[in-house]
Amino acid sequence: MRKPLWISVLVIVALMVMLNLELDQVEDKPVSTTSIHAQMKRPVVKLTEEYAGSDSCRKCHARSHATWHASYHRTMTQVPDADNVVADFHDVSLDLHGQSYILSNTDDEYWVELNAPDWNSTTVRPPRVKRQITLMTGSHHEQDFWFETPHGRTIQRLPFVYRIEEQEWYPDTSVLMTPPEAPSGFGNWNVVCIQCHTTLGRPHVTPFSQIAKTEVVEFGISCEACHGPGAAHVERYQTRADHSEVAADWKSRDQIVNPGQLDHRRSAEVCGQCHSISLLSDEDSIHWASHGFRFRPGHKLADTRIVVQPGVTDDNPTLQQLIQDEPHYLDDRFWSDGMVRVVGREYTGLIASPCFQRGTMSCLSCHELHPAENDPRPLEEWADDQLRFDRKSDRACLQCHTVLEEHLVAHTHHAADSEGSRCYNCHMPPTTYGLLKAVRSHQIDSPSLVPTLTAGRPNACNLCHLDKTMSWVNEALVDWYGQEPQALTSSQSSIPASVLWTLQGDAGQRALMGWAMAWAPAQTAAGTDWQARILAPLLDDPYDVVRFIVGRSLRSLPGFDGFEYDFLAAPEVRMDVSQQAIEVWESQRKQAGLPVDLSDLLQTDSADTLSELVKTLLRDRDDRRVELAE
Amino acid sequence: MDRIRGGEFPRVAGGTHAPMLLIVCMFIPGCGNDETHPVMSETKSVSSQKSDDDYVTSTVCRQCHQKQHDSWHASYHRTMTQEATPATIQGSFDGEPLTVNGYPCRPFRHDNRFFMTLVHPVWDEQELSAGRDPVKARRPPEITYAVDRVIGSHNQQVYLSRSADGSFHTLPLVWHIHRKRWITRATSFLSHTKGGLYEKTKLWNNGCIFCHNTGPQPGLQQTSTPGGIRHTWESRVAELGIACEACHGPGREHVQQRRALAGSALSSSKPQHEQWIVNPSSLPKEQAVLTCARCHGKMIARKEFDRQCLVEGDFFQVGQWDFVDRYSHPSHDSNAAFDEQREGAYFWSDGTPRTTALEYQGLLLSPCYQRGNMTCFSCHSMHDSDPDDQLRFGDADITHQNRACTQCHQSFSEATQLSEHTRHASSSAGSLCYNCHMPFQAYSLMKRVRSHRITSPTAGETLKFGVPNACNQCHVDRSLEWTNEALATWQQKSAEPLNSRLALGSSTVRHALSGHALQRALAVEQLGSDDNFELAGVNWRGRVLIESLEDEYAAVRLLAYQALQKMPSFGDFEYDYIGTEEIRQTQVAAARQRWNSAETSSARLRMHVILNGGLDAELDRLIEDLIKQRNTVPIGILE
Repeated sequence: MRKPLWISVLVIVALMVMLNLELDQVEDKPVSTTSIHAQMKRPVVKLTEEYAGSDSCRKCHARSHATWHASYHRTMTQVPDADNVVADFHDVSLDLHGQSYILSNTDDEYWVELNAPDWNSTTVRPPRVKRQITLMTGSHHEQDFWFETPHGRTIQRLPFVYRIEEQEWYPDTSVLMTPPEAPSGFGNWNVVCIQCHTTLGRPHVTPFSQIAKTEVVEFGISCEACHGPGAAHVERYQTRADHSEVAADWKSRDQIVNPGQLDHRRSAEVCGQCHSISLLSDEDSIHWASHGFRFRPGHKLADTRIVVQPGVTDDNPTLQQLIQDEPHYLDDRFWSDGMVRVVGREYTGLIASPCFQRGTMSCLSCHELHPAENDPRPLEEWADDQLRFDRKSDRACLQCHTVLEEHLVAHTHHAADSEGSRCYNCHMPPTTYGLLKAVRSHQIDSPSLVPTLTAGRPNACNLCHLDKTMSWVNEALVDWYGQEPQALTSSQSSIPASVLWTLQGDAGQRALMGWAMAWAPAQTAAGTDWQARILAPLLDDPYDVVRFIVGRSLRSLPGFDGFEYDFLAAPEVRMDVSQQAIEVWESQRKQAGLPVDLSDLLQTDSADTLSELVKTLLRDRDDRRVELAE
Repeated sequence: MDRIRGGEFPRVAGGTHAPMLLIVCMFIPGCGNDETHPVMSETKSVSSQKSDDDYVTSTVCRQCHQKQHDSWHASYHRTMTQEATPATIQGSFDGEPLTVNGYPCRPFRHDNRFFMTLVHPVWDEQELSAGRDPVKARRPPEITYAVDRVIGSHNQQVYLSRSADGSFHTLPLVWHIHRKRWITRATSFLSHTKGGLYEKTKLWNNGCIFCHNTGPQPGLQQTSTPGGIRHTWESRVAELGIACEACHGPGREHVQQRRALAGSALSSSKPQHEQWIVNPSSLPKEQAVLTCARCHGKMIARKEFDRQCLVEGDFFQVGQWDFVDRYSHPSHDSNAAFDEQREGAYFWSDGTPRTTALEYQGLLLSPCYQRGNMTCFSCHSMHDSDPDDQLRFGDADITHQNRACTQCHQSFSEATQLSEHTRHASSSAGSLCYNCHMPFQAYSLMKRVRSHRITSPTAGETLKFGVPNACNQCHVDRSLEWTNEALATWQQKSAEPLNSRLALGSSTVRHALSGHALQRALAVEQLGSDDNFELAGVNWRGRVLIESLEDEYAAVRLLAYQALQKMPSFGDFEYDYIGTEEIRQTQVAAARQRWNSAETSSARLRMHVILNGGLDAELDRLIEDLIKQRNTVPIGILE
């Protein structure tokens, strides 16, 4: 006879009491045995004496709660269910390195069938196992999934990423800037992702037993991540003590801060706890492992964190040790002149900016985490970049640089209503990389050829003027801003900079160029009828992400809509498709009456010399390993 | 699959009153399906080289060879010919009236027997010869045929009806197993159809019987009557379908000798040369391939033995090789005149077979057979394989699939050497031996088939003989000139230009639009073959395939439709390839409309490249020109 369900539930609950296992504190849905199992197989949501959780904030701050609720901060980490999973789990079969992963779901439960991941034997084939997916990362661009392991609350990463825009699963290494053939990592949520994708995560991973008892205050980035722990604040206002001494005591214990009212440094540090490249000292690491970060909003970040700044923190022993262990640590994050080249580390860029150092610029100069009530935009639109309503314009900068409002053209030398007169296009060019696209640098600087020549970072001018050479930029910068003229090589003087970076750059530069060729301002400045010829060879680039980006950009060019290309196809297929792209381009040029030798752009006089030039440039491609730690 | 002998018009007794006929049929001897033994007639035929007694049938073989019996039992060889029973009939006999090629038809079942009500053949012929369209007649006279036997169980199922004179005729409705629908026999072939429901129906007793059964004896009887010589048939076979003794030779002697040995020490030993039964795979190569060649080489009795064969029974017998010279098989040389007459029925002009059941001829032309020891059994196994293709090595992966060839060409089992030879990645389709050396140059049963003549690809063969080459079968967007150059570069010599306008523009598209019907059929199927989608792109193909929906050959239309359904946004497109002309025109117009809204500019530009289009040449005009150049030579592939 089958046992009634309640007996199984009772047995499980009794076992949990015996084993001291806890379930999420905030889970108030009806529970089934499998959902209890799933709860035991992922980090547990557990408030602390300090932290009260976002639900208690909502009672008084309904509007702020609602705007936060619409943000991607909230959905950074979620327990997967039918409402939040966008990814396709309908009996999907995926292959990676000859291993198959079969995804399936039933109601709110998600499963992966795979070869036993921790199988040690090399002689006996690993058995197939079915693991429940217990946690999910991301909701904006992609979704990553984590499945249960036998080791307590340790979770392991599904080596595939679901891209929301493309509605497609890709191997994780194919959408990250990693060298070709890099092994696929199973990831380490319990000590890495937990830091920034939850509110007060506490890893509780002991090196001796593999059983993790990881806890978080909340999955995702919630109220208290930015406003500080709220338990005392809640108690203070719930008690409504009018006794002045008690009130004073409550007030002194209330840790809530409003980052918008902090000075620009403290304010930026609130964001900087995640949006920076930073390290913990050994002592802080030990504290963090069981109690979470020491940093609290309003505190000075540098007290509990080493914010890495090449040239500033080089002597730091923790950093030095790290570089010894990971020699590529800095290269994976910074251009060689010390500017950040990966997304999500905006604070590190900001503090190196004169606007921050000599002015009062903070994150909130442009962004807002809670849009105003009279903001006409739908919340989804705001949530995309969390910019303040009027800051997708020169407004942000004109707050301080008031004089430029009147003398805009004299300063920019571009038509007032053109992209060349938008502050951010010259001072925040897209030179950081992440999530398969280029993103604006958050280190405010001015266009110059110096970092281009010394560090290889594309300059703002050539990022729009894809059809222009560096010597053209050189002249303009000397002419307009009195910059020192730079010595250029003959190819830098004769071949458009974008062509050089696309064909000869390192994988990071190639990715930026691939993206820029589909960038609307650049297409306006440089036209659209030549890029395909330069992009075509990159359809067979050794880096998966470069091919992804180039394929996507190619399709944005006229004549290439619906162009068929699979960036994960076999190399020989890619070579063939690359040739097809050239043929399509030539056919289109011929029909438009344009030369197919690109003599209007390069010093070539026939299709053959063009193809020879491209080949020559490709031969000198910078094939140094690039791995960007987004 | 021998369909060589010319068909005779089926003249079946019967009136226009279907119920009457039904009753008549019940009493026709042989119509009863309670017979379990396949021998149909009590009359012994005149003694030929062997007697029925030589055969013991598979039931007896099973007593000792259970495992071999099981694997044969799962094969389509066994089910080649079967009595019509609910278990063997695959077609839908639900009694619903339907229209096939415009003709009203009604296949139905009564108890455990199956019938087809069709228009009367004599009336149909009269109408056609009078220049009237039988399809438009309001109340055509009907006839009902009983289905007595079925042929085929894999691709198509053909139904046989027995007449009072002992003859069996194929009925005009054929069940297309893959598409689960009724088609006419005429449209089941790649041939020029002249109309009429009964076109291509034929007599079984002097044709099909030989290759679709074991120990066939047509049993032609000739009696003089006042009206002239009357032919009747007392056909018998040792076993329906292709059973053990078709390949191993008659087993009586073997069984008797083995039984006699029972209990003796020798019983369990295996004589070195078992002289009483044949094991084809241990025969010398010439004889090994002859085992299959009776059917897969279309061997037919020479003219002087033809009549004898029909009266006395088949002389061909595995193990009795003396009689082989009473047979001839069509080859390109012997058949050139015939081929010409019969619209290139069998061979491409370089001698490569262009349909199935000519595998023997292909093999004889292959260096692997001529200079090596290749036989059918190098790749096929009758007892340890997937019934679908009976391939020895299965198709698990590339190393597996290439094993047939690497048995001799050992160095190519190593990945680096393989890709050095193939110039394709070792794990890619371009490194599969048979993709280059056994391309799809043959056609049968409404699909492409691999050539069994082992060759190496050249662009010249396509230009000179019209046979599609292996390279352009995957690289469907490429020209012969491209292939020519690639092959020359690989051989490190400079390409000799082909100097032909036919060598420019995609060879496959050119065949699809301008080729003759067989070239069109093969090209259209290549365009719908998803193994080259990634390589050559898909978006542009719809434009070509829609043109092929209007092909005059029904089979080409079907292949075009099947291919079109694989195109993005055409997955749910509906088209009846044997529907009336009006229906088809509406459907094609819908396809064009759908295409116009789906076509992308990159697809258009690729099409320009693929057609080698000049500057202002409009695609529509380019395609129109190619269709105008179409080779309209009538094609009738004799499968």
